[in-house]
Amino acid sequence: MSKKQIEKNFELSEKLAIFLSKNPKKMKAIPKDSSFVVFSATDKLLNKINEKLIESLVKEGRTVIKAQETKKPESPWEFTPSCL
Amino acid sequence: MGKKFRRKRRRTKPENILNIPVMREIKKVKTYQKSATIVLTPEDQIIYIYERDENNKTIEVVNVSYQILIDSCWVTIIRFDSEHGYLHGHRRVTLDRESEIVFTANFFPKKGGPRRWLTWSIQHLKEKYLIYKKSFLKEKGY
Repeated sequence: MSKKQIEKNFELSEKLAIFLSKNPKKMKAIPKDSSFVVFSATDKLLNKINEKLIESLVKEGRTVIKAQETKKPESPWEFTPSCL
Repeated sequence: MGKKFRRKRRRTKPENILNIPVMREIKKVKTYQKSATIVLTPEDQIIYIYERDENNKTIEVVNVSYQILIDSCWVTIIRFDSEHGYLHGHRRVTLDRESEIVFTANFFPKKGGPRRWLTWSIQHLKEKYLIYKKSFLKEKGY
């Protein structure tokens, strides 16, 4: 994983954090102790790495929510629960 | 008459005859955890815990967390660990919920190891703690 991709990962998590704090209604439907894993709309390599992360988190027994970035301005994130 | 030799019997071990798996002693590696706190300001601190083996080699980053003081309670905003064999971060979304965003932060995939991950994560938090603090508190109106 290159430095640029790490930065992308940080930026993406920052985007999601801002979105979630601005949209508390979206958070209500999601379990309180869930872990979000971000997926980029453009970066496939980053998504591949994060897919592995989901696997290990699910094995650990955590509630994992896949947060997929979209290109739609009206709904910039799509959330789906993940399981093995 | 020739000299008598006592024939040596080849003794086969019972486990070889019966094909019993032999229990071998597993060498236990002694590990110990070390922890420290870096005080950035009276309201900000970095706490880190790492595991070392008997040769003093860092084998795991248990936790590197950045905490802020809110209403006389230390709250972790972001933390790094290497539980799954690679470095990843957990970022808290809001104060009232325990939900977090998990992201991979594996800087040195080939050369790196827990020792470099530990150094990197401490350094990263030292440099960027204000950014994390601002974005966390912005929406809360603190």
